[in-house]
Formats: sequence, C-alpha cells, structure tokens
Amino acid sequence: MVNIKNIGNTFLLFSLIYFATEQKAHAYIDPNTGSYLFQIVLASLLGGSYVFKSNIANFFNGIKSKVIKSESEKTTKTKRG
Amino acid sequence: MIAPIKKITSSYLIRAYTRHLHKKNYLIKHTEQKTTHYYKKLKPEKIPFVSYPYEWCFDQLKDAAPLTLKIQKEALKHEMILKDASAYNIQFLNGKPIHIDTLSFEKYEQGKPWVAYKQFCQHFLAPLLLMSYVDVQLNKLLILFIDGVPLDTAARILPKKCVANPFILTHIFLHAKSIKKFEGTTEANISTRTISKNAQLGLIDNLEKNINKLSLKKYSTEWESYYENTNYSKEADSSKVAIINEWVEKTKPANAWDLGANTGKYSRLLSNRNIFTVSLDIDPNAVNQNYKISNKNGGTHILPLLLDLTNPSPSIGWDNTERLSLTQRTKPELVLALALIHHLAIGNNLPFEKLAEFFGSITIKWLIIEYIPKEDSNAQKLLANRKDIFTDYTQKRFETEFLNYFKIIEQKPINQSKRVLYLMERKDA
Repeated sequence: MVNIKNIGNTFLLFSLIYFATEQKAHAYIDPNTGSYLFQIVLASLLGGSYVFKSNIANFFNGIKSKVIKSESEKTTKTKRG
Repeated sequence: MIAPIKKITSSYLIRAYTRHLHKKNYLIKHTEQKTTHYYKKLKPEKIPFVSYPYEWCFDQLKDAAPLTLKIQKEALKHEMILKDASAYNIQFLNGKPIHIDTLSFEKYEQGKPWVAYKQFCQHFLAPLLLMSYVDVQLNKLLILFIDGVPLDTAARILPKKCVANPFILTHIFLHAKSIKKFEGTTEANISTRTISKNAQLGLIDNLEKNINKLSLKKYSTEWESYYENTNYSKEADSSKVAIINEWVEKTKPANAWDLGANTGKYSRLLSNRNIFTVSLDIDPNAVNQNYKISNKNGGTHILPLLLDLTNPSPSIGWDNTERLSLTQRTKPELVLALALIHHLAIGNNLPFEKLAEFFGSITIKWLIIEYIPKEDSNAQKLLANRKDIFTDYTQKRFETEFLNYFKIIEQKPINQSKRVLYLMERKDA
C-alpha cells in the first residue's frame, strides 16, 4: 500500500534540493516561504499540461474556424451561381 | 467611499487593465475625483449592502472564488498580477460577485510566483472543501480566522479519503506540509527559481477547473423544504401575499431586510419591484436555494445571506472594526419578520420586550411583522416537548411591547389562519 506520508516527504525533499539558492522576497502580503516553494514546484508541473491542453484547444479551434470559413465561402459561391 | 491613493507605478497598465475589467463586470467601477495631495483619488460605485464570506452560502463562495482566478488570469495576460486574494475583496452587486479593490493590482514581474496563492487557498479553497466534504456550516470558521482557514487546520478536519483526491492532496495537504516544514524561518529565504507565465496560468487553471466541480453533499436541513410543508392553505397564502403587496405599495421603501426569509418567496415580492432586499435566513440549504433561484431569474435586487438572528455576525478583525456586525451595517427602510416571532420568543426564550427593542433598532422606518398565536399548529410544535412557561406570550403583550418603539398603522388577520399581520412605523422615524 502506498504511504502518502512518504510521498509527501519525498516531494518536499526534491523541492528543497532543487531550489538551493535563496533570495529575499518583498510583497504586499507575506507569501510564506513554504507556500512559495510549493507553488514553484506545483506550477512547474501544471504548466506543462496547461500548455499542452491550450495547444490542443487552439488546434481544434483553428480547424473549426477553417471549416466555418470554407462553409461560408461555399454558400457565397452558390448564391452568386 | 473615497479611496485616496499615492503614486501607482505602471499607472498606464493599471488604468488600461481596470477598464478592461469594468467592461466584463469583474471589477467595481469608479470615478476619478480631483485631488492636489495625491496622485489619484478614486470613488468606487457604492455597494448597497456589505456582506462577508462567512455570511455567504456555498454557491456564493463558489462563484466568488473563480472570479478571483479569472481576474488573476486576465491580469497575467495584461502583464499585471493580483497582489492579494482576500475573499473580502469580493462583494455582491446586482446579484453577482464583483471585485471591489481597484488597488489590488501591480505590475507582473516575469517569473515571480503568485504571492497570494496561500491566501487564496485559505480564504476560498479550504472553506469550500470543508463545506463540501464535511459540513456546510463550516464557512463560519472564517469568523474565527480573519485571514482564512489555516491549511493545516483544514487538513486535520477534512476526511482522510480526501488525500486520494490529487487536487485536495496538492493544494491543501502537501501545501500545508510545506508551510509547516519551512515555518520559523528567520528571513524570507525564497529561491531565485522563477516560474513561467504558463506555469502560473496552469496553476490558476487547475484551481478554477476543480473549484467549479465542487458541490454540496446531499443532506437535508431543517428548513430547506419549509414552503412545501407549511400550515398555510392556498387561500391563507394568497391572503398573506396580498396584504404584503398592499403594504409594500403603501410604504414604498427604497430597501429592505427579510428576516427568516427561507428561500426568499416574500423577499421577491419586494425585489421584483426593484426594492433592494437582503434576504436572510439561518438555513444554509434554504439560502443556497434562494441564491440559485435568484440567479436563474436574473434577480438583481436581492441578496440572500446566512444569518442566525440569535447569534448574528459579530464585529471582527483588528480592534473589532475591520468587519462590522450586522447591526452596524446599512439599515433598511423596511424589515419583514414573517413566520418568525414564535421561533424567537418560544423557540429561543426571547421576551417580546427584547424583540421589540431589537426590531426598533434595525429598521429606519417600517416593520411588517406576523404575530403567530400559541394555538397555531407550528407554535404548538415548538411546545410539543417542553413545558409552556410562556405566560407572557399573548397578542396583547406583543402589542404592548412593540408600542414602546412603534406605532401600529394597520393590522390584518390572514384568511383561514389564526395569524395576524402588522404594519408598524417607528415612533421616532
């Protein structure tokens, strides 16, 4: 059985190793160190899937607009004919 | 309220972006005022009644959360970013959530993470998950925690099965663990690693999609089906509606509170006349239904909210002045108190003396109140399992106490019912 606690600790350990350098942050509200680091890791993982889904959506939207344009051109030619 | 502000950097970007949000009705509109002392002075459009997230039903909080995320997404596309994500930046206007803090924006620095992510999770995500997975009343935790429900607290309350949900596991459980792991750090030591805009958008998109999927567990509450089970005959109901309509026409209030409004049936007699009505009830399912009905009907003059009259929202925050108690907020010209008085007097042991004083303090002018005699079947239900100690609960005593604060303008019995409706006017109005 998968131990969720171990997964969580492993995730955090890799985060700590990955982000070795440090810098002060200045913000209107306190972003909280732990939350900031966590967001960097999580967003990096989610960003890839977001770009992939956006590209798929753009691809199909592109096809859809080409089909609509082509249908509209056909209708115009039929009327002139 | 006028908001004097000092010089804003990247003011052109902010002006352009706020105009964009105004068009979408995401951000409250404002007018610029003349000033010599400040860079800009903004007067926002007035919100008719300020409400707080612990007074919102589930669907109101669920609509407020994605609005914040949509604004953040739009902000990133315009090289801007929200510098906070407080639920108190959202109010309800014309029946819909709207962002009210025009000063929440700053220029986006490439690669910088969202500083308000933790605040968003505490103010919106944690309460929504607690309401959805544990108990619909847990948004009241926001009264105790002024900056939102701490994520470790939410993690302890949520059932263990939530760990199997990747969305909850990441944004609540692992997020809380990370916060705990790095707490006590003496400096704000944060990695120079940046995250791309697409990574940010991916995070926002993930939050938005999953919040939109949340729903309330199906369990019944005491008053959610009240109007299906009342003791009014059709004739009695029509009589009550006719009397209220007549008195609303007579009093012509600009605004109203409907106390014990349930799903807002009588609130809509006012709001459909464009009388702004705050429709208050203790039952979370009833308020949620009220909100859904209003949305479906495009109701712009009704604001359903949660209220326990025996324990209304207190003043909270710094010096107990940041968030006002119910009675400190804009008072109405008319208060409706229908099918309510027996619950307060018999159900909650409140004498007429105290009730009259309270109603006298919350209305600017008018009160429409329904007297329910002890012989009424619903009043009898309240006495079914207890000794009747309410010797002062009589119509005469009711009138005597209310006459200390009000003039009785009219009283009319409801047909086919033992109940009596009163139209009262405050003595010092």
